[in-house]
Amino acid sequence: MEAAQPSALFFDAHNEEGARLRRQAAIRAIEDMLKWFSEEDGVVGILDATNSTKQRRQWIQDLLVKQGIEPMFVESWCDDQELIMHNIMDVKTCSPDYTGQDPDEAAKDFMERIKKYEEVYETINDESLTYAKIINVNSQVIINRIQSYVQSRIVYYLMNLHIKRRCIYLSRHGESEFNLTGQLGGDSNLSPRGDLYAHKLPQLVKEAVGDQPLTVWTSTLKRTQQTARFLPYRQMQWKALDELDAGVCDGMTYEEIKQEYPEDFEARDANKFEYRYRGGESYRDVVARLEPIIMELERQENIMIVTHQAVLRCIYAYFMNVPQDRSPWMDVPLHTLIRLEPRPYSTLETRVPANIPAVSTYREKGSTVLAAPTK
Amino acid sequence: MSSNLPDTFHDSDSDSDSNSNSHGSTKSSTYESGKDNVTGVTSTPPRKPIELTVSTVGVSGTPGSGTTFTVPISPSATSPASGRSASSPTVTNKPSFNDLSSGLGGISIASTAGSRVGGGTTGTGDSGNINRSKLDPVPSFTILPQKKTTRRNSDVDAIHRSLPKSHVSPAQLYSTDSGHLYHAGKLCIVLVGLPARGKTHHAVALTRYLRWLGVKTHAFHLGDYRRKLTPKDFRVPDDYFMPNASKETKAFRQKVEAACLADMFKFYDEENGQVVIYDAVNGTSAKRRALAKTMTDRNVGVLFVECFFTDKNLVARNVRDVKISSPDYQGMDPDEAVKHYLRRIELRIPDYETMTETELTYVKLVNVSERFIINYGERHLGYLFNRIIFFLMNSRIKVGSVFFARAGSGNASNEEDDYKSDGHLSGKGEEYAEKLKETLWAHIDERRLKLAQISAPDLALDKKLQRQARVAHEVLRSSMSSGTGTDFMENISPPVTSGTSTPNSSADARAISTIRADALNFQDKSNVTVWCSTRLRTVQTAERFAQEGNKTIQRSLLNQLNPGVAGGLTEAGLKEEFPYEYLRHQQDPYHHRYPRAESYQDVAVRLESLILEMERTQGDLLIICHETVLRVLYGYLMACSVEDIPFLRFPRNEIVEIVPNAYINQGNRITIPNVDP
Repeated sequence: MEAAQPSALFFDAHNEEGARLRRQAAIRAIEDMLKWFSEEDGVVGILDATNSTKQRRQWIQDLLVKQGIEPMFVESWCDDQELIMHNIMDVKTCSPDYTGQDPDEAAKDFMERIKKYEEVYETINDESLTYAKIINVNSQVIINRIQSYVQSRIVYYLMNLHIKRRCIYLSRHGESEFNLTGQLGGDSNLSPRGDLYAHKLPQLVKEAVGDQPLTVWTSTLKRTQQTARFLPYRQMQWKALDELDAGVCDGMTYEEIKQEYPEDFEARDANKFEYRYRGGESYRDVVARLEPIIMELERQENIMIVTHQAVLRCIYAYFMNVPQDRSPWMDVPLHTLIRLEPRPYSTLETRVPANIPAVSTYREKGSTVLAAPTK
Repeated sequence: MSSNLPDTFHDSDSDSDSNSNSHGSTKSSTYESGKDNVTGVTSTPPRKPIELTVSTVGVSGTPGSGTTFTVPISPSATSPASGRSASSPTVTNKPSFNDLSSGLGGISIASTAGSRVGGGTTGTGDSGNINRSKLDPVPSFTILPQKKTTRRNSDVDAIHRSLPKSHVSPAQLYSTDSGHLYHAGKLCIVLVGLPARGKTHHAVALTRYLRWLGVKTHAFHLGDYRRKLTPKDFRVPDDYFMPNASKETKAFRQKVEAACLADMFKFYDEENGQVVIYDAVNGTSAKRRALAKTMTDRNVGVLFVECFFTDKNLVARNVRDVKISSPDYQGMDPDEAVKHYLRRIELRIPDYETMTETELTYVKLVNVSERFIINYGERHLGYLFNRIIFFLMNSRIKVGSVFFARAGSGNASNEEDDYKSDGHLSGKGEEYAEKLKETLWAHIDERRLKLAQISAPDLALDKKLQRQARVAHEVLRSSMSSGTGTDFMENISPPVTSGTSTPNSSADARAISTIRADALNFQDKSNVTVWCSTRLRTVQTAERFAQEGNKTIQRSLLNQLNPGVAGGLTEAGLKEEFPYEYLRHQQDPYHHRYPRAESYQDVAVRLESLILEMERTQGDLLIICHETVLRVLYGYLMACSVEDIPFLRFPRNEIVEIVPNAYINQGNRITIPNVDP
């Protein structure tokens, strides 16, 4: 590459050398995308660039239509200066363009870069194009010529997004009576150690969240509500956060399941994501019912979720992009606060153990024995 | 009633004192639902690559304004589903799984174990505690005489029926104690727009979709109230729609509006309704602000949906299709009639104001679906709001029917229903495929001919059609009064028309026969799109149409309900091998699933994206797939209950047609001659 960390001058429309390089970068990005469509059976390609002139957009439109690809433009339009500055500090200064640079210097350079763009910027108003224009981060949205279900689905998703900085806190309920006996499901109370966790949780959360506002979501089962009961924040119970329903195996231990339903036990290990308990649910079922939760999570700011192992795995997998053959096997220990911070390029994760001992509920493939307890 | 009012109500500036209309209703208990049957989608691996819409999203914007949206992919989308294989013992020569479930008509089994949906646990909610009990391993049961499930029950679109207290929707993922979903609170969707803009279409379509999801929704059409409250010997005053109407007229207007609002509040307060859809003109800013305040004061969120047109031709088409079927225009040249009608609207509603109130939450639909302008007001309405927009992006004012048909038969006698086998069409099956095509083509030709007659200036009416329409109207009327819940608008005759127009009953007969007049330009054999599942017999049945040049698409989502261990077993075999599951199935054939099987509810949930595509599709759509899937799709279009869906019949010798209609969908069965049922 010509310049891994280009300065603002690179983005000056009057800089011929810059313009040439930028055009070249655009061509390369599109070439890569087309290659991905044809060689890797891509379905939806996302071209993340400024595309700020009519001419550039028309060029993209023509090029893609020729390849049998439906172009759809998403414009994020903002004239709220405060929002812009906030976004620069938050998002842009951690972009690869500025890795290792002083944030203030980076922000300054970035403002310069914006000025260069503004000189030539043309908002989308060509009514023959398919586009979604999001104005001042979802205070208004204009949607034009949606051509297919997939496009409507994309717009629907975008409408739930915001770019404010926020964190999502995840915790399992404290150790329950069923955890002690190794039984699945049920609606048991917390164990004494689980109750200790409930008492300690407000302090853990306070240390992680500080003075920021927070909303706590629990399931409708007793153990999550008992765990959250000392948290001094607004609380909501969601049916959709209830634990994966183990159907006929609800209340049984893994050992009992293996004895009573050996075929099921094996089938589950063979494909844990798809396996559905008799009269109960699979991980896939849980993912489907979590759709409103995920959308609401995208829309909201700081949220803490106190829920159950399987549900937490699914939510975690969504934010951390864990593939579905792995997500049902992730180890999510009891008595640990997980902090996820979605950033533009990846999600940052921090785990805060409460240092309260608990049994392990983690089971390896093929085994009926649970792993060693945490301390 | 002599007037041929447009379906409009120029909203008076009245506030609503709600005492003029109270139907005798009983104070109802809170919404009781059965078990929170949380369940999801299963997927079977696609046999062939299905059509994929390939899109790319160009992201543009000023840097710093949030250009970078990372789009995480949900786990369900990251890797293809590896299908769950049915570990079914194969027993040959047995009747089918379908016959099993539909053959249960004679008995129903009441169980003492658990509540209705899915059984097992008591209903619980987004708020409140749960008592999660294990399934009772040995349920006690008694055999009760089954209430007869007649065809008529589901042959009429039930979208205007009140919901029974115990209502559970076909695609409902879970129920709550409060009876409300998504923590969205109560919501009022207020339609805004001049006549002939498709308000009623959107009101009814949204009701259908939200009810399907499990959101307790009811549409209130102000025009219905105007008609009901107009005394028999009384003509709606000429100045009814004028802003400066006479005192008496204003009083009458207020009375109509108050009656409608009273029913809306009754739905919230007594029926525990979550979403009210208010179908009226609401054409002034003052009116809308007052309404928003009334609702906000009652802690109801308000979303305005404005139907706005910049394309005069589209309005004219709408008027031509829908409005000029009224007796006023009999014998008049259609173009003249359209002009006359439009002039009438302009005269009557001179002060219509399009929405610009930034403090209100609204979505403006420009030219139906060409363009959406969404304004987020002071209160964001959350997930449910976005879901509504999502639906509106796919909703079209439909032109063209949906036809349902079965695939031809295969060679083995039980092959039809053996989930695992996937054989070719037999000779008989090939014959069937040909007859299916011929029958459909004949039907479309006939329809074209009739429409041509009706649209002719002299409007020569087909006597038979007129009679059919009357019968349909009677059926509809009786079905509305026999609803199990509280009936709003008792004894009112619903308009039976092709669109927003709400002519009086004398005009109903003709209205029904003029359904989709612009079908003339639109509906031709070549405009029939065919969807089929990826099963071989279905694909081969659809091939006949592909050969004629019709767009034919294979979709794995249309594959039949996975019968799991029940696949290939007879009723007796099932009873013997899975006595417990067998009983459970009879208690709740909609929600119960045999081991490794899908339930109807699973199918309903997995069909969500197809249902939205079905809403999008213009022109005729022929869907060829397994009876289990036809039941669910039909259940959506006709608002069938979960009790009825598993028993719907789609004999092979019939094509089932659903004629879309803004107010109510029409079911219609076309016999395929010389084919066994």
